[in-house]
Amino acid sequence: MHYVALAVVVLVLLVLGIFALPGRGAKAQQTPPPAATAPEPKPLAMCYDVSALPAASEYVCPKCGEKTDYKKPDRVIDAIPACRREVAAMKPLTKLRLTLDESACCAKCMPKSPGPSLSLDIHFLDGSKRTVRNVTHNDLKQLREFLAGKLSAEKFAKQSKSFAEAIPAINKALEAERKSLGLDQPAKKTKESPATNESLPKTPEGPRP
Amino acid sequence: MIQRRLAPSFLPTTGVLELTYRCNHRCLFCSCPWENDAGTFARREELSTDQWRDVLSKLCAMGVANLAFTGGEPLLRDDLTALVRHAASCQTEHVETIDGQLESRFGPPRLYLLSNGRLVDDAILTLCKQENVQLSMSLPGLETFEEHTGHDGADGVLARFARAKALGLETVANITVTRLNLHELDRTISAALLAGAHQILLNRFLPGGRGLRHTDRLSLAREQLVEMLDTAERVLDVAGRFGSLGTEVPKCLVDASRYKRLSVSTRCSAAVGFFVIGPSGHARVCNHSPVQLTHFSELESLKTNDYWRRFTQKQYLPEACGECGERFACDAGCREAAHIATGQVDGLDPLLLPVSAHKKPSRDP
Repeated sequence: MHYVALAVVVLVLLVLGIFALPGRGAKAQQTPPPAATAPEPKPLAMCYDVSALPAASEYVCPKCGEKTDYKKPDRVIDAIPACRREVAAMKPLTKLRLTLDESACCAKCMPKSPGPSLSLDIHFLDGSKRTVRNVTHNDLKQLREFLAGKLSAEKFAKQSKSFAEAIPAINKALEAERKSLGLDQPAKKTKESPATNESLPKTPEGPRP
Repeated sequence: MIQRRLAPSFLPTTGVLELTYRCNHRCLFCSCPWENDAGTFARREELSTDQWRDVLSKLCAMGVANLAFTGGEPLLRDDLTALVRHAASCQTEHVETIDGQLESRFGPPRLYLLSNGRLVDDAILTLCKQENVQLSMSLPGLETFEEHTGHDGADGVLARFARAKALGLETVANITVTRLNLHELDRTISAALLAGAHQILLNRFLPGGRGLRHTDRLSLAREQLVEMLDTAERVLDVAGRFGSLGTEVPKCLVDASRYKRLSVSTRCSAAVGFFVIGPSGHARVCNHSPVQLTHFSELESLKTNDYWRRFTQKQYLPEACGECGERFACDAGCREAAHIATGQVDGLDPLLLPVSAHKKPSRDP
């Protein structure tokens, strides 16, 4: 009797299994292969695509030309190209000379640095210099918006702790700059925007030839 | 816990070795700078076997962990097997991040062989198998293969993908996409995968080398670039496979996040992820670059070379990108293609230029 019951159960399971097969097949086709088979997106393109993914965050020092490897990912190191471009983008906005000090990132230039960090040196027109330490890409983005008249000093100070102390001096220098240009009235304030990537001017259709 | 360390050298971790100027194909799209009609790229004497051995040993000692043999056609060098075996016998430092820590280990470099496939035989496939070499073969179309390469041979390349698979080798099908073969891209990718290629590598045609003669016929328009990516994504999705685009694209032209099967990058890796040693032993920032820098015996001088530094520091964004919100995550396409097309490293990528605006080649600076 037991054998008969077992045979019936097996038969029922088999039938259910067979009827379930087409459904499973269809599902399998819709299901993407396991994520493990998908290669990690490559941050850099290369025609031959032979470079294995960088297994470290690499920093090449602009002063000495040497390379320092960091564990991957590294928030500071990975943001350096963007920070450099921010500083370059500020040049047309002010007569203040702004330089990014990356020396703490270089194991050769500063072997005893506790870790990677960026500083911004602000060279005022009177020859004095102020260094703002531990600046991030976001800090620099806000400084650029501030210099462009898109962000008020108050809001800038509120949003960027690194720059909070330096803002009065920068503001004073900018006022002197405006006076020297015969622009005694403060620049017309444009509509303030949150300091996010989306707030930056975009050219959605890209640069035109 | 090691969080950082001075790298074995300043060099990128991948070295591309152009073993010879010679080639047994005459590809319309060939971007090798020495194939430039204007003769603006000086062909010097090719390195000897011993000199290439020196290059391999030196690069491994400097922490170059990936070595790619190419040309020209590298299989035209009689000493290719000896050079591959020498490279495989070298030790180099592989730096890795494991569980949030920086670790390094010594071992042979990862090896790659990039060929047009015509001379690939069982001996080469066995060499690749023995020395763990990843083999890439070029397949620029099926019905347009002969028009592109000057030789009828798509079936031969497909047969070699199949043979490689039978021997347990993983291969890459390298497809340069032009205006002439875009219409058959779906079939080309499908044929390569069905034959046994493990991965697909697409490159959009870039002006340079012999290709400068055919820029009008081969250059993709912006909408054709998107068509290329969409086609590849669709075929790879159906096949359940993955691929990548070798040439960076401007972010304003392509939304890379749309592609799940195809890895599309907007950043350039010249002098950062890889560099090139040409047939005469002179370094360049990438394979497209028409600018020969220092000889391999003086590689250290690259650290102070302005051209090299411009690439390592990524100081090459076109002025037109000045206010673009994407300029912090984009290198505005291929910088050397822009250099060739406009005469300026910070010029516009050819995709952003009408073909008629491309500059005629001039001598190296």
